[in-house]
Amino acid sequence: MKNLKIFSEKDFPSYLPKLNQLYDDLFSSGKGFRSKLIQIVAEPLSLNLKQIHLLSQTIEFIHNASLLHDDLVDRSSLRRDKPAAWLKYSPEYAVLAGDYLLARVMVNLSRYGNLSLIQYTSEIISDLLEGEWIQDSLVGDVEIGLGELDQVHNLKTASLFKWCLRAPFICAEDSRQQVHQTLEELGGILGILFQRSDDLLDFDVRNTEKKAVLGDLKSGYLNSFGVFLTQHLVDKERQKIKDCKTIEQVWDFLGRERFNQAVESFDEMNRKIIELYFHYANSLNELLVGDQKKLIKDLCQLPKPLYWRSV
Amino acid sequence: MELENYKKKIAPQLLTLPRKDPLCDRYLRGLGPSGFSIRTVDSLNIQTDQERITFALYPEGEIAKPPLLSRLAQAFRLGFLPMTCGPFLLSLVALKFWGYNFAFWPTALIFAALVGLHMASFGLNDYFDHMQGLDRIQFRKGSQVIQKGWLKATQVLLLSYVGIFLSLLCGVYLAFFRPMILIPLFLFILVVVIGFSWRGKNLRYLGLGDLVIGLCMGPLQSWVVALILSPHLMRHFFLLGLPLGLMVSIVFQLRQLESLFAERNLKTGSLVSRLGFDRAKFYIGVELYSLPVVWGLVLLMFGANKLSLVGSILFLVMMQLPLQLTLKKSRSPLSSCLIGIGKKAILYEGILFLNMVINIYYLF
Repeated sequence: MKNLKIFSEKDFPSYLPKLNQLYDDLFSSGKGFRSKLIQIVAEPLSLNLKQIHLLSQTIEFIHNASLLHDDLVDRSSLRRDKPAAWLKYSPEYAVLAGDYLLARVMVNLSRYGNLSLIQYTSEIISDLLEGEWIQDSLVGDVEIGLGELDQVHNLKTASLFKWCLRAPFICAEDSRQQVHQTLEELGGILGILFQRSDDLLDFDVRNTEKKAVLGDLKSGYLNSFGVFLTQHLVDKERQKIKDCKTIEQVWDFLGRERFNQAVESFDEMNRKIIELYFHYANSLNELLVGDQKKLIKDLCQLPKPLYWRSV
Repeated sequence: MELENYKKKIAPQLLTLPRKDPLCDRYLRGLGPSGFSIRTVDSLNIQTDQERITFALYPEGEIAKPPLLSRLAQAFRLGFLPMTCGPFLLSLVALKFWGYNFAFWPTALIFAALVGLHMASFGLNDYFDHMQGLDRIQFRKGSQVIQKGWLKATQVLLLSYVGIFLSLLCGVYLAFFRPMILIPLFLFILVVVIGFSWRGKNLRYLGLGDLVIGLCMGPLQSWVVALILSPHLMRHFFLLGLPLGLMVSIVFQLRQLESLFAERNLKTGSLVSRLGFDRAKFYIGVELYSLPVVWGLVLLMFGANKLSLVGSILFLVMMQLPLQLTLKKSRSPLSSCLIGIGKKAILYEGILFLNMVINIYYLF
């Protein structure tokens, strides 16, 4: 897989002070998972480099725009171990930089001229913002259920994964409904798995990158694993978990064994979702033709790095 | 390859079918291949031409189920039966206090008819919501008994028909107490129960669901009971059931509020979805405040003294404050405050009922 440079200085006006510097900071870190997913899907479809670059840039712009706004909304001080853009530059610049990325997406796609792609992309951005809005309304709500969170994540996180799978097919002018439906399902599951894995990281589970933990809890937000962990606790106990400042306090309160059992049960629940994922991958295999079938092998390997965080 | 290993191990268990496939319809009804139980696991593009449903097949007996009575109680919402029979009980109490003695068998038949209608309305609601895909996405609503694989959809439908048959049987006998009035009323009630969630543009879709259900489970019911059990026309019993009917509408609206987010793309047409989250909250809040006032006006018409009237209204306003606060606290349709708000509303309905009984006692 080639290392794609998502943006260059030519993409943004040079006369706007600090804009390129802000984007340099933003795009220089990050795993670029979504753009890699684009490449995985685009290759068997024989898309050219220009198309792959357009799609990769689009998804990374949308994703990073949401991060810029997210950090300000949540008042997060760090992003990828660096000061968040709203702190380093200013809240105004962070908002405008996010808006500008979304505007560039529309410019680039409209220049490319595929109306279906423009339509789908605008729907995804709309879903993303809807998810953000709803999620913000849930801050401080510690009694939220897993079903409710999944609905939010389906909009916020899964929508971008769905786009990564479907957009290359739209670009390749493959508009078969069944294919897109199945990709939509696969993308939705990948998004949920990715989010749940991220939520586990926040509780220091399989945290090989040694990321900061309990960030969600400190923001007043109980993530999917937090909800799963506390589902059988009474209100007072749940409140105590919410007040924990370190992961050690969580372990002390619940007991290490109970915590580990919850991780196992959570993993078991997600294994069933991975089974469903493979089922859909199998049905996609029957719909693809020729070289497109090579995609299935790569798709089947995704749950491993995505959920289990192993390569 | 991982996919091949998966296919060997798990492949027979999951099956995805387009909605238009006749086999899909069979599986939705719970009629799977012999030796297997079926559960719906996932759906995509619900209520569109592209709808596809994924089923999981389990060897018979693999799905853990609670005892049958427990499943039936959940499927037919036994907990809601007091709400269904509230106006009936209120009328009995009022008639008794008013000095009427009523015969056992007509009373028992009225109760049986109500139980039948209750079973029919909730059973049909669950069945059609399941077949149309609503209960596959609105996990807070419905009994979820079909989705969990505890009962087949056909079993729920059959029991609903049993309920309709029971209520028809009782109704045919009871209608002859006052055929000119009762036959049209019974037919109207039956149409409402069946038409509430029937597939297609049902009463709920037209935004009339809450209104007609409130009418049937409130003023109409209390009046019909009085018509059957007393020798007079008892028009004022229509008013007696009004507060309870209003409360039933509120309960339904609160439950719709809980599932508003899940239904956002489905255009269900209910009043709550037409109003939107914020306006629906406001509307329900106003309805709740108007409830004690409506009861106060009814009491006034019955000649209650002003002191007990004011006391009654203030008591009911105080008792509904937790509900009002819960509504105010909920910032979105996914808010955990809304979880179980329907049940809290039913509890308030019980308080309203007791208040009404006490007032009627002192009135007569």
